[in-house]
Amino acid sequence: MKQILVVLLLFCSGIGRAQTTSPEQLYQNLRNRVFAVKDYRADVIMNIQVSFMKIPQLRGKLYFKSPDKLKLVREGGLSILPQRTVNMSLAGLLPEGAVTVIDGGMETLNEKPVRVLKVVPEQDGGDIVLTKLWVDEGQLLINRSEATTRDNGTFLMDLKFGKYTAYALPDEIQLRMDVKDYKMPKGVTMDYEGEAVPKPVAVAGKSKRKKGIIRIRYDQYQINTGIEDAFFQDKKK
Amino acid sequence: MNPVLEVRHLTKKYPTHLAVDDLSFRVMPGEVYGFLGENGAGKSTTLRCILGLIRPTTGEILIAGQPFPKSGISLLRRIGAVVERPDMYSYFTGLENLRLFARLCDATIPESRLDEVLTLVGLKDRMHDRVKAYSLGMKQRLGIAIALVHEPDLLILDEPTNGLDPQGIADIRNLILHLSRDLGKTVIISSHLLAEIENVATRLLILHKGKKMLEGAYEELVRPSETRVLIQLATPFPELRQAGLSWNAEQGSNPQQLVFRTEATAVPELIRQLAQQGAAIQSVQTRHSLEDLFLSLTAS
Amino acid sequence: MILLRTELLKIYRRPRTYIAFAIVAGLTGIIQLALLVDGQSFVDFVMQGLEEQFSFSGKILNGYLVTYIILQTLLVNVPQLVSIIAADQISGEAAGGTLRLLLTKPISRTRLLLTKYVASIIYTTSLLIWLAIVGLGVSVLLFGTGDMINLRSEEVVFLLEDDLLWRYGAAFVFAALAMACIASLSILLSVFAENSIGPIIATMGIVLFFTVISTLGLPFFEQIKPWLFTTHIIGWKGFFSDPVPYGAILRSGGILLGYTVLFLLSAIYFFRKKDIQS
Repeated sequence: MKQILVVLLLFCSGIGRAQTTSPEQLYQNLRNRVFAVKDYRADVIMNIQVSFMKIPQLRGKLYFKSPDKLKLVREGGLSILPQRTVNMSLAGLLPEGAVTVIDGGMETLNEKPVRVLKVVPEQDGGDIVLTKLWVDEGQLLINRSEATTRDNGTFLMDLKFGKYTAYALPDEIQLRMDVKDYKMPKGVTMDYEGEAVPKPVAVAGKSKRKKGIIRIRYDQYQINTGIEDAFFQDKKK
Repeated sequence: MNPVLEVRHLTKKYPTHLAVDDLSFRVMPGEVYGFLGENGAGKSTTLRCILGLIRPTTGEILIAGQPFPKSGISLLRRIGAVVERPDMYSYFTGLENLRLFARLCDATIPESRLDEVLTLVGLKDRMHDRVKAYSLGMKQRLGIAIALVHEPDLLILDEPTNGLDPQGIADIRNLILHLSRDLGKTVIISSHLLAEIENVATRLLILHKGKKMLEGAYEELVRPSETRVLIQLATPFPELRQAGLSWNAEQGSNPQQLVFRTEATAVPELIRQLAQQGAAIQSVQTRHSLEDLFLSLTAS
Repeated sequence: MILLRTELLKIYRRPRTYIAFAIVAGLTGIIQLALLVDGQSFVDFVMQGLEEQFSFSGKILNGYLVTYIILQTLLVNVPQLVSIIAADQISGEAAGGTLRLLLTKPISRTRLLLTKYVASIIYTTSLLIWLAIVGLGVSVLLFGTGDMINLRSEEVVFLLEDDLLWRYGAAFVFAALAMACIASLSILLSVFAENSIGPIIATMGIVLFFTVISTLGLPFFEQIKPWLFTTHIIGWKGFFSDPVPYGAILRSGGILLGYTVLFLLSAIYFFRKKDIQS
């Protein structure tokens, strides 16, 4: 009986220990897992919704190399990605070294309990001032991240995992970002004004800043095949 | 016989002046109708009204008995015209111009007809030259070819000899005579010079300030009894007036000039008698009354 | 048909007709050459507003975009080229003295005017086809095909490569309609003149005047702007929006058609009344 109790206690304490993994440790575990993927290529379907941009659904191959190289290739066509692709990969959100990790407690995300981590880079000068991570501790996956930047607003990324959970690679991400308004002088563009231009609906209440939503669905990941750095060098447009 | 063309009470008013004033006349088949008047008398305006280029203020135009343009633009098929300068498309050849205008009148006109007309006006050997290179006389002849090609009932030639050299004038005159006498064409020909149409026209109409002054058959207008003889003497010779001549002399425009009214056939006898009286004759001029009338009209 | 053939012959046998074709080819060639040599800095310049936030890769400056740039630059000036011929239709014949000869032939003035109009339209269409060949055709040969980014003053339209050719087709058809409107204005002005310079300059003047008025953006002019035909001439651009504003394009087309009919009917009315004094 006593033995059973000890086993039970041990068991409980084991669970308890898991629950009380330190934020730093959890962060490190997540990092190790994410960085296990050095590169990948995947077929993607991309939807970009920005008030001032009319972009059809784009299909292509997305190439990634840790920590922050990202490239979309479309057969013979143009490709478009947000300028700060760093914020589109988890690796970029998990900076190495001097960070302060603060436990943000438990929250419920998509009816699942998640642990919130707040990561503050210690060195000044980086664009990101605060990253919030919503972590599924059981599977050691980041389900949501929110990066607050110095100059470029916030980036909110939701990740859905499925077939590639083993590699911590999402099947789908949805990125919400702040987008600055775009304007060109009418004298340059010589618009045809017979069109009834629907006034861009401001997602955010703030003027000048609008929300842009980018949704990417991934399929056919090929992982750690070794992609040359040079591949990401932007060729002549 | 019905008139080829009849103009009834034609009036054309412009804000500033009256160009044609209640003009009526008829042109019968086979006539060469001379339309005479100084520049600005209303000849061109009348001809342009007949051709539908200008809308009359009032009046009626009947082509082959049918009111024009009321009865349809197709009545113009019965007319061929050269109005004022014979302008053509200078970047086309003579043949191309002719073909172009011919087909507008009648799409079925065969090439052989074009050839025939060009031969008639004497342009056969130059028909492949661009009109740009044509002289005015050649253009005038091409204009006549264009007017003729669809075999109209009536040919209207507006000042066809204007600006031509003597050879050109002779060519056109001979062509018109040929058309009229040999081919039996009905022609209206206008001019501001009597001399240019007096040997051609069978009927004359003198227009002055838009009004008809005189109209009639050429023979009627040029009556032999109406000839005036102007005799210029070297010295004044007043006695001559009563010197027992068969004719009464009048004072001319100067003291040395005598004017006699007589028949043309009597002129030699008159001169013989004057010479017998010892008159020093410098020159003798004969004028028929039409010319006098015309000169007096154009002088005023 | 003979009349139309004759009128076409008059247009296409004259050297001045080919001036317009040469101008189109020349300007198109210059734009293509300039973009071939210095296209990158041009793209960098127009894209700088966007590149701040988004990065683009791939051949932005492809044949389709070059064609769009050419059309944008050139179609504004095509009315002048149209007027060279259309404004000459009646006045040129009056100046040349051939009008009185032509009108003594059994052809009604209405028919003559309409035929001349149709001939002008055929000329205009041939000019646009020429523009399509040297603009679209040569640009695609030189720059290849690809997706097109259409920068509008307040939005960016990204059009896929295989979604573009029909847009160009539709744009050229619309441009033809717009130029048909210009041609009808030119012919109307042509009726009143005895030489072709006047109506050519008058056509250019009217187009320029209205265009300036509509670009001024003053409140009063904004009121009349929707009713100026110049506002609608650039309706071809509507086909490069997404979604295509068919309603607006249809309205623009309707207004242009309305003006065309108005100009033509006026031209016929005045031509029938006109005393030919030339």
